[in-house]
Amino acid sequence: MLLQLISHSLGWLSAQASAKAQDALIAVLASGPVPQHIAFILDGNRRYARSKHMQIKQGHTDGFYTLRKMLEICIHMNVRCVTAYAFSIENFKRSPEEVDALMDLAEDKLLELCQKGDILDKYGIKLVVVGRRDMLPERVRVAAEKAEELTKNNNRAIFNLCMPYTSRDEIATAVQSTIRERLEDEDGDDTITADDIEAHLMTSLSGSPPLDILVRTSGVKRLSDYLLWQCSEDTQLQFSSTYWPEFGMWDFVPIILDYQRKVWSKA
Amino acid sequence: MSWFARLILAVLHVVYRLVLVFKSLSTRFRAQPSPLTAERSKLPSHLALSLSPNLAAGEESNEKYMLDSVEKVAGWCQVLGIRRLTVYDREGVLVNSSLDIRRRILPAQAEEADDSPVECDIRYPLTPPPSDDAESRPLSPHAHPIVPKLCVTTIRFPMPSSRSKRRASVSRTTLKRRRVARNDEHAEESPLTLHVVSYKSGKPAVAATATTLLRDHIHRKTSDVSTCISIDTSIQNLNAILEGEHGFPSPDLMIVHRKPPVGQMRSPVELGGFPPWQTRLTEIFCDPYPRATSWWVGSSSRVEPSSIKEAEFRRALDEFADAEMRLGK
Repeated sequence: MLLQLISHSLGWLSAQASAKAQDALIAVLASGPVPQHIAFILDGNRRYARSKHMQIKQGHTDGFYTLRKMLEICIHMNVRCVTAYAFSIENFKRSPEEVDALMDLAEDKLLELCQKGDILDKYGIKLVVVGRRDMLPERVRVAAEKAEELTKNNNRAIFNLCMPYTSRDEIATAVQSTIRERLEDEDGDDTITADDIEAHLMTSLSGSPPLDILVRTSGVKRLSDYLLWQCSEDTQLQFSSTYWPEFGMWDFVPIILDYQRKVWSKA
Repeated sequence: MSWFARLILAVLHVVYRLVLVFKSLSTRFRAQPSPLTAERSKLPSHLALSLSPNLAAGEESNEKYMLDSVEKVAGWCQVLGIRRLTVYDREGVLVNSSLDIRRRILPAQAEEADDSPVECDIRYPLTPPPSDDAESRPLSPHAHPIVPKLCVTTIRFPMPSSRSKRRASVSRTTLKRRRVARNDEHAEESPLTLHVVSYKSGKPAVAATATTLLRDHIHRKTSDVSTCISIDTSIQNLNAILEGEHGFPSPDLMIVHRKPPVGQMRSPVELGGFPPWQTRLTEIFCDPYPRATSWWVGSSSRVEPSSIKEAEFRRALDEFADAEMRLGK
């Protein structure tokens, strides 16, 4: 009985110590240059679940908690904008059971995130759902709109949740809205520039700064129709071999250090 | 307290730099990639090579290293049967040297062609007629639309002895001809389509496409006010234009070759302005620790950009063969 108490207390102490150590490390990193906008491709949930002999659904749930954890770390580091690729338009091709489970998870977690006291409220994060929301089931769309409404006046940081999204769809939509706007403007000239299209991208419309770093987990080294326009110039592409649910400070610190080296080498 | 945090950060960076040095040195002991012509489970059918100039080196030496790299990679592609190669550099150094590129790659094939004149098809980017010139506008709504300025230069290198084979036109002999061609293909190099692109082939090309769609619509509206013509800005239509005849399709694999700036042993890969539309499903390869033999050199003026090495190319192919494509499922 006493032994149990001691081990429990030690466990609590070590958790506290590691939390404090993490906070200290974040503060150290934040004393140098910090990226304004980081994007994540949350890849590897299913392979992670299979490797741990869990259900796929559990892999996605663990993935959500990692997303929440990383969002919090980024906010503590004073990152202004985080964009996450939660669901691709291509993912609708998966089995109906998995798609349903993902939609359930999305609805649950959207509602959870925007509760009072939870992370969005606590840190003043504006949530924006980026993508073709007309393709989402009604219940998820309603949850998304509620979360956006509740957080629309938050101004400390922006969290773009891409679902369902593909970059080509975003670019095509931007081209369409630029053309439409130009047609409606009687004095508008008939030349469209790359900047015009950029201003109409969904990430620009949510107020996101230029993308500094894109992180893809699970060892895959491609963009898979994600933020193609935004990361085509000088965004650092970081390919990590860790599965997303296991991604943490150990993987993230070198990414920040690489960014700082780049900023200092340009100075 | 913030000075203390900055001190710890400086220490952290020193430790990180040591780790990178260690990793860089240990790459000398990593396994050699498979030989060039080794069996691989899959090969890209379209390869892209992205080159960046070394800012410390001069214009001429950068141009030389880029042309050397293109020549080498084109040669390796022909050996392996990779039929499409896109070469990119941001500023358009390669685009300006298209004729040089053609001359460098062609001689190897010119020796094979004996009786027929070697023909090489260079398609330069079209310059659309000035839009304010009334004569150039299509008069009917069904006329072929004006092509947007996509700034893609395409060079087609034919099969060396294909011209003599084309003369055999009798259908009965096609089977025989094909068999002969297949045997010969192993001995000779395969045809190659080379796309030479720059920054202008990317975002500005998408903007040019949007401009063309807009102008086309305005023109159609003024010439025929009764019909309501919608503008097709669907992904399919944009794709048909950007990846079509005057553009270039998406590569399967992109090798980003560059030397990190002096003092940096490793930096994460950046796309450097490569046309975004075409990078949708492209495997990106960048050697994380290029053999920067001059990292200890103090003076940056002695840094010479080095053309791509065969080992880097083979390593890229090995990684590509291992990559798993799930396509959303």
